[in-house]
Amino acid sequence: METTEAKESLEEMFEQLDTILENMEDPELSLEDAFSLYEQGMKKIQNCNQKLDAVEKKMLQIAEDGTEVPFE
Amino acid sequence: MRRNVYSVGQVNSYIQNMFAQDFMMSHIAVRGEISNCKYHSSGHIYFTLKDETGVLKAVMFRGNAAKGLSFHMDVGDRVVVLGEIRIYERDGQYQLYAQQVTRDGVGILYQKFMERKKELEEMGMFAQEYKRDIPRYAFRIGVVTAPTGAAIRDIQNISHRRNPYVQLLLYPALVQGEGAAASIVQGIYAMEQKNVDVIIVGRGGGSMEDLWAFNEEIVARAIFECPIPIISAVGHETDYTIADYVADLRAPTPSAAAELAVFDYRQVQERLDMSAQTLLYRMNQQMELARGKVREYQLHLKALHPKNQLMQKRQYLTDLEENLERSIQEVLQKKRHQLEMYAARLDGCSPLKKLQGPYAFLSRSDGKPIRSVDDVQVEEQIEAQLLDGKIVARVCGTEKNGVVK
Repeated sequence: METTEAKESLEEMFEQLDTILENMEDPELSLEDAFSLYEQGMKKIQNCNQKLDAVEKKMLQIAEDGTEVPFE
Repeated sequence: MRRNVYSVGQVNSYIQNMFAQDFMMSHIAVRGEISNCKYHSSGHIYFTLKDETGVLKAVMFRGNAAKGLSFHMDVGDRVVVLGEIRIYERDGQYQLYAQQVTRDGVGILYQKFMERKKELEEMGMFAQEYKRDIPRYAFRIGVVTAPTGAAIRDIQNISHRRNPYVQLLLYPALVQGEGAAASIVQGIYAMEQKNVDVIIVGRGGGSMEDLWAFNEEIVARAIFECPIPIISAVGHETDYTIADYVADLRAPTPSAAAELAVFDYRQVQERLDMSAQTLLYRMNQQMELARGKVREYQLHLKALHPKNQLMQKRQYLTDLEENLERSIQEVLQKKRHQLEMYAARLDGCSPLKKLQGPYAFLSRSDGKPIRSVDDVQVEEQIEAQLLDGKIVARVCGTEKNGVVK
């Protein structure tokens, strides 16, 4: 489960999020389904945030041996 | 009339002087194609420059050739010759005295560029159908360019401004001169190994020769065959290279390439926040909807409670009672009215009413009504009843319809 989540692109996750939001507008929705959708949506947002990984990255450089080393 | 007559030498040296005084003639660059070329044993080179309009004789002396010529001139070479134009007084001819001869790079390169472009285009290497989509959200971005210079700085700055959380990975490539094309190809392969999301291949501005590596076929092929989407970013907006045509997307400059490759973090964050808000809002809406439904059921249930039903039935009964009462009253009213009408009519028919005129009710003394003359005897006592009393009378005689008895 976790691996498929990780493989999903941000774009796909956004699409799914939009679908969830759309479905939540249905006035015929049962409360159980609404809660389930809400949880799914919150999980997606969490996953997106994880994916965004707000850790600043320094530029790396590929060295001659193929390893990645800090740039300058 | 006497004319001045000059010697040949005088005329030639006069013209020679004219050329010498003309600054342009002494510092001139001439473009043309070599049509005739002789390397003399003395070390001097005699050649002719030509273009579509004509020819110009030229000479390069040994001393100049040693300094100003780095290749062997051949017929057909397009060159730019720097030098001065002087008169060769012995032949009475002007010629170009070359100090420096260089290949007319732009001309040759441009022609080469056009030929290659046409060739690769015909092979389908520029076709839209082979272009890969640039990912909207790339997290690892490969950059193949020189580690020094404006291009990498621009890419680094723009990338950091838009999204400091994406990983830039640089392959320090040689971007001009010998081995540049091979180095760029190596960089693309390296990025394939690193499996980045998108690759920027490029360099800053320069002359056509400087940018030439990006016109080499091996670079074009590496870009074409690369399974990872590639954005080309070579030189300035006006520079077009083969790499630009083959790439999945052409950015006019390295800065622009960074704008295209790096997604704006703030925008995505805003979108996420917005989604979270909407999600919460819609959940609340759903709960409110459910609450409304519960209230509705509550009301319905309350209405169905036995006490309520009893009250309702009682109310119904009261209503019925009232209706009944009202109906009876109506009937009574109607009957009363009818009675009055009958009474009035009856009143009109009362025998007493009849006695109101000069009429009397005749009866025998025993009270029996007298209906016929035959009912009485002469001398019999009878009574005549009037409205206000009675008269006692005696029958004097009877007459039945004119017949005296």
